[in-house]
Amino acid sequence: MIARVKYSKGEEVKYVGHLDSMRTFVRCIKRTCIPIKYSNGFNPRVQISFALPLGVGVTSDSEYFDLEIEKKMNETLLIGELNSVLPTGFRAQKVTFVEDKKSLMSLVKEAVYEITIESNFEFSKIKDLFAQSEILIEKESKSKKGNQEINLKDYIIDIDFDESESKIIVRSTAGSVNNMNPNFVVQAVQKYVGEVEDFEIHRKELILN
Amino acid sequence: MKLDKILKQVEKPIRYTGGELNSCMKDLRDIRCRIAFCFPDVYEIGMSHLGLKILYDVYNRRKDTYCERVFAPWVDMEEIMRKEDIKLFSLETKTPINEFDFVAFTLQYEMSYTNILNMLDLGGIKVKAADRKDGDPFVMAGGPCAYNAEPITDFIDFFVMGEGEEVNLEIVDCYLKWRKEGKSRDEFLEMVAEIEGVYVPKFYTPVYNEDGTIKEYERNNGHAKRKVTKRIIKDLDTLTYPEKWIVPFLNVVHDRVMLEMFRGCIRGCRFCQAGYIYRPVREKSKERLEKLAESLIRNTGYEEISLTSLSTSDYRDFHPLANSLIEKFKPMNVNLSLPSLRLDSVSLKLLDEINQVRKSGLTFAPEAGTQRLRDVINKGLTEEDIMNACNLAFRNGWNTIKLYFMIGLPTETYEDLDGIVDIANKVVDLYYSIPKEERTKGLTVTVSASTFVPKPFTAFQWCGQNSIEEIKAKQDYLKKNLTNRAVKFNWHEPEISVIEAILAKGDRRLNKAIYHAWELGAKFDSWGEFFDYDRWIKAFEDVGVDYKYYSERPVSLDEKLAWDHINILVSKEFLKTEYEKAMNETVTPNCRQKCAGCGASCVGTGVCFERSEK
Repeated sequence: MIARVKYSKGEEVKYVGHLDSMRTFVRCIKRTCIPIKYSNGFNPRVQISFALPLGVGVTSDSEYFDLEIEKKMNETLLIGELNSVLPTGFRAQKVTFVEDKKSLMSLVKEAVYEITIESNFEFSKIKDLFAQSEILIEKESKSKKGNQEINLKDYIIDIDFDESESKIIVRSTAGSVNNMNPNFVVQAVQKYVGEVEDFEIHRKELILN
Repeated sequence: MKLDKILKQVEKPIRYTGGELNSCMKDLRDIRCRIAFCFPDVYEIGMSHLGLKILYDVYNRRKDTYCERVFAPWVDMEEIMRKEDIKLFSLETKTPINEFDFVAFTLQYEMSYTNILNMLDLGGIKVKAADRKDGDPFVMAGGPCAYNAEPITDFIDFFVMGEGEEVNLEIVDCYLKWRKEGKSRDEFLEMVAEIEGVYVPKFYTPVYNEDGTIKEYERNNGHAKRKVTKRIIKDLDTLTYPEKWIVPFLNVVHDRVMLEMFRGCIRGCRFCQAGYIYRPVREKSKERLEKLAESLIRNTGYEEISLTSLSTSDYRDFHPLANSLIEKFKPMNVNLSLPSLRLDSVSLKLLDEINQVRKSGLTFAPEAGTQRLRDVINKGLTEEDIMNACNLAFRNGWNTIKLYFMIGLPTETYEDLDGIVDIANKVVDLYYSIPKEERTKGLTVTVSASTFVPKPFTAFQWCGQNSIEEIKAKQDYLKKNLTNRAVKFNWHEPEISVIEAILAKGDRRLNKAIYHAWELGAKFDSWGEFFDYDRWIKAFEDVGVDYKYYSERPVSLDEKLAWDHINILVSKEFLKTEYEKAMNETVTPNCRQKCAGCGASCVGTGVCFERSEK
C-alpha cells in the first residue's frame, strides 16, 4: 500500500536541497505513528520516493512523495501526524492511497511555475519576448556533447503574465523527458531582455498522469 | 541587499538559514538576555558539537533567556557579506551579533582562534576587548582551550573554566542584576569575576623575568580570584540533557544521537589533555541513559545512536547498556555506534551483532611503537592486546586494521619508530598465518602517524616539540621502512602541529601575533586549503615573537607557567610526578585500579569514591 502525499515547501525551507529534504522527511516520518513498511534485507530502509526534484531556492505548493505503508490509515490523522513533526515551511496537504507500483517520477507530466522578475526594464518586454515563436537558449549539459541549444518555446504549453506583480506564469512539460527547468525562463529573459536583478520561482502545480 | 538574494549566490545556503527541526524560536518580547553562541568554524563542524547542543538547551530552558547559534560563514559568504556590508547574524532570528548581550565562543581547538577574530569583525564588534564600550556585547569564551586562555586574552572579555551547565546561568543572573543597577562595563566584569570558574584576564598582569620566562601573575583588582577553579557538575544523572536537539537539514559531520555516558577518563595517558581536564570520571546511570536514548530517538527520528565518552569500554555497565540498547532499538531500525572501544572478544562479538562496521575496519591506537615508549606515555595497550584482538578479528571476518601512532613523543628514538614498523608487519604476518578459509581476502593495514603536540595541563606540558625537520626525517624514515604491500602509511604535514603547539602553550605575548596573522589573512586554519605556515611565521617575526620558545623549548619543572593561576583540580605536583614517572618509564595504574592522588577527589564524587560505594 502506498500513501501518496502532496505537500508544500515554503520560503523557510526553500534552500533545503532535494536530498536534504528527503532525509528530513524520512526522519520526520519515523517520529510519527504512521505504519511504515521497511525494505527487507541487511539494511532496512523507509521506502519513499519523490516526484520531480525541486531546485534549490524554489518554493512549491505542489510536491509529492510516495511512502510504502503496512496498512491504510485515516487521511486526516496521517496528515496531522506529518504536520506535527515537519519543520516549519514543509506542510503536508493531502493524501491518497494507491496500489499502483508505477514510479511517481514517471507520472509527472506538466508543471506550472510562477516566476517573479525583479529588474529595471519594462515588464512588457518580457511579454514581447515570449510572443516570439523561437527562444533559443543554451542548456548546460555534462554529457560529451557539451552544451546544447534548445528552443524554450518547445517546452512551454501555456504562458500568462501578471504585470502588476512582475510575474510570469508558465505551464510547461515536465518529468524525466522534456523537463523544463524553470531557470531557463530567467535565463532567456537575461539573455534577450536585460539584466535580472533578482527573481523568485514558485512551483504552483505539478500535474501527474 | 536582502539576504535572500545573497543566499542564491553561495554554496550550501542552508548553512545560514536555520529553521531546522527542534531549533528554538522565542518571542523576543519575553527575553531579557540574549546569547549568541558562536562556533568558530563552519556549520557542519559546529553542528556536530555536543557542547553546543547541551548549552543551547540549558540556556533556552530558561524563559527570560534566548540562545541563538552563529557559525563562521564560509569564505564565499564572507566575501559577499563584506561587500554588501551585512553583519554576521544568528541563525534563529537573523540578528547581527553586535546586538546581543553576550557573544559566547566555544574554544575546541587552537586553530580556530583566527576565526574568532574574523567573526567579531564581521559582526561589527571591536576585535580587541579594550576597544569595546558600554552598550557593546560582552565577549566570553569557554571550552577546553580556555584553560590556557592567555594567547587570546586581548579579544575576550572573560573566560569560563570547566563544565558550563550551571555557571552560564549564574552569569546570566549576574548580568540581569548588573543591568538593573545600571553600572559600568568594568563593574560587570568585577561582578562576574566573583563567580567560581570565571576568569577576567584584564584583572591579572603578567610579570616577566629578564630571560623572558614568567615571574608571576599579579592581580590588579580585588574582585579577581587568586586562582580560578574550573566548574564541575557533581551528579550527571540529575543534570538536564538536551532531549529535543536540532536535526540539521545538511549532512553534518556527526549526524546522529550522541549519548554521553560519562565525563573524564580513568586512563591517564600523559599526553592527553582531555584525560586531565575532565577529571574526575563521573558516569550517568544505565537507567538514565536508556531513558535519554528513547526520548532522543523519539524527538529526532535519527537512525543512529552513538555512545559518547573518552573511552567507551570503561563505562562500568557497558555491556548491559549496549545489549539493552540493541534490544530496544534494533526493531526500530536504529543502529548503535561504538567509537573508541577497547577490543576484546566480548566487544568483537558485540560489533558483530550490531554490524556497525560492516566488518570494514577496526581501529587501534597504540600511539607508540615500543612497550618502553608506551610506558612513558602511560598508554596501557600492549602488543599482545593488539595481536590477540587482531587474531580474533581476522578469524571473524575483518580484514582492515587501522593503527594510530604519534611521532615526536618525549624520549622517542628511532628504535621506537622501528617498533611502529614492527607492529604493522606483525599484524600482516598474523593475518597470513591464519588458514585462507578462515579469513577474509584482501588485507589492509593502515598506519597513521600524527605529530605530538605538548599541551597545558598534561604531564608533558614541560616537554618541547620536535622541530619540523626532525618530524619530517622521522616521517621519511617510516615511509622508507613501511614497505609491506599490505601496509598503507598516512601522515600529516607537521607545520600545522607546530603552530598548534605554539598557540596551545603560548602566553599573553602571543596575542599580537594572532592579531597580526589575522590581519595577514589567516582564517579557517584547521582547513588544509587555508592554513599557511609561512604566513604564521611572518606574523611571529613581524611582531617579534620567538615562536620556537613556545614549541621547542623544554620548560624546567620549577618555571612559572602561563596557566598556573588556573586550577583544574588536578595538582601541578601530580603532573610533575607523572612527568618524572614518564622519564623513568614507569606506568601509573588507572583510576579504578588505584588512586594516583591527582587531586580531583576533592570534588567528592565519581570514580574516586566507587570503592566506598560498595
